[in-house]
This record gives sequence, structure tokens and C-alpha cells, in this order.
Amino acid sequence: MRKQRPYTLLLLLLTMVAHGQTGGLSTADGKTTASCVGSPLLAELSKSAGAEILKPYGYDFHEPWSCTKIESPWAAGANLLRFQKVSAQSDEATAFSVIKVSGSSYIWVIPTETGMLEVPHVESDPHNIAAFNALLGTLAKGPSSSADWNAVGKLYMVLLGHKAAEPMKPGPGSSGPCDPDGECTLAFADGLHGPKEPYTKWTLTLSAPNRSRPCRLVEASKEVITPPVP
Amino acid sequence: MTPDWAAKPTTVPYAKFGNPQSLNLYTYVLNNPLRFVDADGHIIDDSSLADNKKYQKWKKEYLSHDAAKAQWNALNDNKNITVHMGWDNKGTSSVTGGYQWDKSGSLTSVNVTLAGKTGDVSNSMSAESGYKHGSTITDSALRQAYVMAHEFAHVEYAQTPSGRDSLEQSQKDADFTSQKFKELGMQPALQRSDVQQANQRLLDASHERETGADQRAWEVVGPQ
Repeated sequence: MRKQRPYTLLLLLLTMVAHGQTGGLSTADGKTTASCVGSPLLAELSKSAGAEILKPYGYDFHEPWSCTKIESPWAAGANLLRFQKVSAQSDEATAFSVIKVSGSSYIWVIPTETGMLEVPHVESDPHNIAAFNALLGTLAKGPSSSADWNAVGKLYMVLLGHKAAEPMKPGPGSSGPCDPDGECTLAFADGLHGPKEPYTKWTLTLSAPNRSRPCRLVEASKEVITPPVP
Repeated sequence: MTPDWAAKPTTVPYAKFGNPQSLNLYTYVLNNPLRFVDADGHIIDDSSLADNKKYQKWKKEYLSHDAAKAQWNALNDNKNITVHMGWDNKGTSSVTGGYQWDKSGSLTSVNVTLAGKTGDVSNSMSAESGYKHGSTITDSALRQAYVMAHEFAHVEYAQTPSGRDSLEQSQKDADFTSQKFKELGMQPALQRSDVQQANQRLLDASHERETGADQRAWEVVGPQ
């Protein structure tokens, strides 16, 4: 029995990570950690070839940035980094994410905020959806449980700078996010609003016609919801 | 040269001898003292804003809220502060900066630049970046009023002793990290614990300031 304990603990830890119960900074389905310093992707971006990739976006690593690593069981083997501009200036929230999937030399850059604004249509930009699908394409199989689906959707939210997003419960009578044709709809709230306050609702539609194959993100949208006044 | 409110001769706080226009005492009424009556106002619209229809619309929307009038008047009537208003039509960030405090720690001068795109609700704000209320505004007129109230909230914050301390600390941290990034490059700079700490302080302070300004702006222009 004693020999099994470490494995049990490891299994428990992995389960917690997969289900978002690790607390602190972690969101599990897209866990951000403080340090990206040892990341091979950071090293690559810091070289002149990496700087050339970032240059068209106006990102200059000679200016101060903070960098965090995004970890998720749904991005195993990929390198995901998130950068935020560091400044004393007010209303400066410029940020972007970078993805490099295993087995590819291609680096995806996803600008998410510029100044005090989100990048227009960041949620539905075909480039961002393609980057996420490149990530999902490396998975051996697609999500199966509701928790899996929420974790996949949450990872997209975290990549777009919304680590506090909370999955919304499916409507009454719904057995899960997917219909019989394999179209799966996920909804997230921005996670920072009170029960009677307006909030931004994100809706992600994923396709998973065959559970033995990876799913893919088809479309994403967002809208401001104002709860009715009682 | 002595400002019109001075009981005894003092220097004009906003005078810049490299910019003779700063000595023009009529700029506070947009270079047209016959069109505007503001005998002693201390919010100074850049002269180019007189015929800027977008800016005038923002200002009208903002001043249509009672609490906004009070916020504006408190700054405009404060003889110790000069608020220089500017406009950036293509910018994505309305910015409050260029803070100057006197030796006693009172704020004497600040620049507020409004960015045209920030008043258009087709450009979203992120609740997670601190704009919790701003992110839920779906009407552009209200967004424009919110952005002005938000920037003036930054000015109000800089008038407090804790606000001044925080802004001065952030400037020191920003100067430090800036220097290290230039000297070392990103990865070696980020390996230093002092840079990591300065970065974290900057991010925390920035988030606190934006969250505070968002809340204050909502008190000023949100539903009463």
C-alpha cells in the first residue's frame, strides 16, 4: 500500500490540475505560472529571428515586458507564452500570446490587447482560431466529459487574456455541450461580475464529429449581457 | 509673468519658454476669449480642440452627467492644478500622465490625452485589464463620457498622497526595468529577481489604478 501512495497523490494532483482546483494563479485548463524564463520558446523569440517575427506587430523586446507560461493538459507538448507590456503609463494593457506546437517550427502570434482596448474581433479572428486548432490538432483524442470541454474552452479564453473566465452551466435538460452531430457549444462569463451586474458572455462552437479524433474550434463570439432589472 | 489668480507675483506654472504658445493667456478659452467664458478655469483644452467636433461631442456627453459636472468643476476650479487636454484621433489608449507635483506634494500639472478609438464601443475593453464597468458599456456616447471620467479619476488619484507615492514608485520601477531590458535584453533581464519584482509591482499598481479609475468613472457617469 505504501508504494502506491505517491502514485495516488500524483494522480490526484493531475486530476486537480485537469479540473481547475489548484487555486492561486492556476486556472488548470490554462494554467499560468510566474516564470517563463526557462522556456525554449522565450529563448527563440529573444534571438534576432524571433525579433523579426514580432517586429510586424510592433513588439520590441528591448522594452519591458512581463512573461508567463500557460500550461494545460490540452496543450501537452506545445509551448504557450503570454506577454504583457510593463509600463508606468496609465491605460496600457498591451498584451499578446505566442503558440508553438510540437513538431512544427511555426510560431503563432496572437495580439489580444492594445492600449486600453482589446484587439478588434480577437475572439473570432480566423488567425486566432487557426492557431488554436493547430494546438488542438496535436491531441491524440478529443474531450469527452463536460469538464474536458470546459477545460478546452477555458484554454482558448486564457490565450486571449481571460484567465478569470468562468464556464456557464448549460441550460436545463441539457446532458452536455454537444449535440448528436458533434457540434459542441460552450459559454463563458468574464468571471468578474456580481450576480446582478452586466457581463461579457463568450460563446465558443467546436466540432467533434468523431470522439476518437481531435475536436476543432469553428467559431467564437461575445456579447454584453445585462441582467433584467427585477 | 504672473497668473491672473496670484495675489503676489509668481511664475506661471504651465509656462514653457521653449513653447511661446504656453504663455498665451487666452488658450484656456481656446484662443477665443469672446466665444467662451472661463475667467479662471484650470482645465486647458489644447487650442486645436476648439474645432475638434469629436472632442466637443465627448465633452458634451461627459458634462451631461451631474456627477461629471462636479468632477470637472472640482478640477477646473482648483487654482493649484493645470490640466492640459489633448486629442489622439488614432490612438488606442487615452492616457493621463506628465504628472508634476510641487515640493509640498501637491499636484500642479497633468496631461490628459483622449484617444478617439477608445470612445467607440465597437472596440471592446477587457474587464480583466481593469475595465470591469467600461467593458459592459454598449452605447458610444456613454463610453465617451466614461473615458473622460476615467482619465479625470486618474488625475484625482494623483492628487492623493498615496496616489502620488504609487505613481512615483511606478516611474522608478519602469525606469529600472527599462534600463535593464535595454542593457541585457529580455531573457537575461527577466532572470533577475529585482526585475521580476519591479515588473510585478508595476503590474499590480497598474491594475489597482485602472480598477479604481473604472469604479470612480462608473460612479460619475453610470446609472445613478
